[in-house]
Amino acid sequence: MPAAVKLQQEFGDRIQVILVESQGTGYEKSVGFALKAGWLGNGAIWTSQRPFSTGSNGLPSFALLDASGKVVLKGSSNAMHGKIVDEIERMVGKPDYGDMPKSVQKVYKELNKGKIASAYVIAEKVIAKPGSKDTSIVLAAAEASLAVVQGRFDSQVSSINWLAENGYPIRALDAAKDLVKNVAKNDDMKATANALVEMLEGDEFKEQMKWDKSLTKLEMAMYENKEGDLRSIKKIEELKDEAAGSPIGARAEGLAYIAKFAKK
Amino acid sequence: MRLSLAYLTLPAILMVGSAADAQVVNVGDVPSYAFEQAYNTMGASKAGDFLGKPILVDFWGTR
Repeated sequence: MPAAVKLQQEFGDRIQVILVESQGTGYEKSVGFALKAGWLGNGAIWTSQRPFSTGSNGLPSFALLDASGKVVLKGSSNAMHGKIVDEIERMVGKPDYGDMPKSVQKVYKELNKGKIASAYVIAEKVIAKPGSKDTSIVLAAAEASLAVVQGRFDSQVSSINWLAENGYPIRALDAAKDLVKNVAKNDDMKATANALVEMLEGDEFKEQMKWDKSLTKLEMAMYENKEGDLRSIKKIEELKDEAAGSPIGARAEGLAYIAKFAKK
Repeated sequence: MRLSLAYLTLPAILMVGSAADAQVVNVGDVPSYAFEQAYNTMGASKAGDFLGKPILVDFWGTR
């Protein structure tokens, strides 16, 4: 198993690993290869599209980006594995706020805990009363933090909508319920989050919830059995037909399609 | 971990695209990218979607 996949398993959703097949094998074959090898089902993203180059001739190579998207390390994945782990541990550990005003650091501390509305309230308070020391710096930092908080909320709403529209209504509902808790102090955000919960608990999603539960079980069975046991794949294809025309049907179709490449 | 994009002085943003014209990134660069075809994205397919957590991009081969 590639060390990067193990890091995804070890650090979970605190990091995102993107594996880029770089020898021209192609998307379907490379994902099928990963399925056959038992490397799927852990949160890592797989593609054959190179987002950029590290400039390294050998494989595997890597680029490690921080939470702001900046490259902080690159090179040979094998030779620099220890450095990669150390750097990830540093980044997911205690945040480094640099010379950010302390009043604004509180915004990010709350946001880091997932408390979006609480972070929003603190940012608004700092903007309203930035204090008499370094006022313009504090104000600018607080306004920037407010935009980041709003962006985090918008991003979570987009993510929930994507999950709902693409055959993952159970995950979408869980995420929407979490969002409701995390935005309780902001009426507008709470109304949006509640509307998402209401939508996902509505009649429109009842059948999809049932299909999602079945498909997720089959999907995990397919990953665990590496090449995918034939019964799981057959059942996925049956579910694809049963849920045809729905997002679950499309999701099942995609899984069955990848499974075929694993068997070749 | 830096949490605020706006608070940082960002280095030049690189616009990079397909494999054929993939640009070399260096430490300090902030690459911009998007995946048209990727597995298990859960809706996250471009650089901006991944902000807020470290990203490890690993280039590997099947052969």
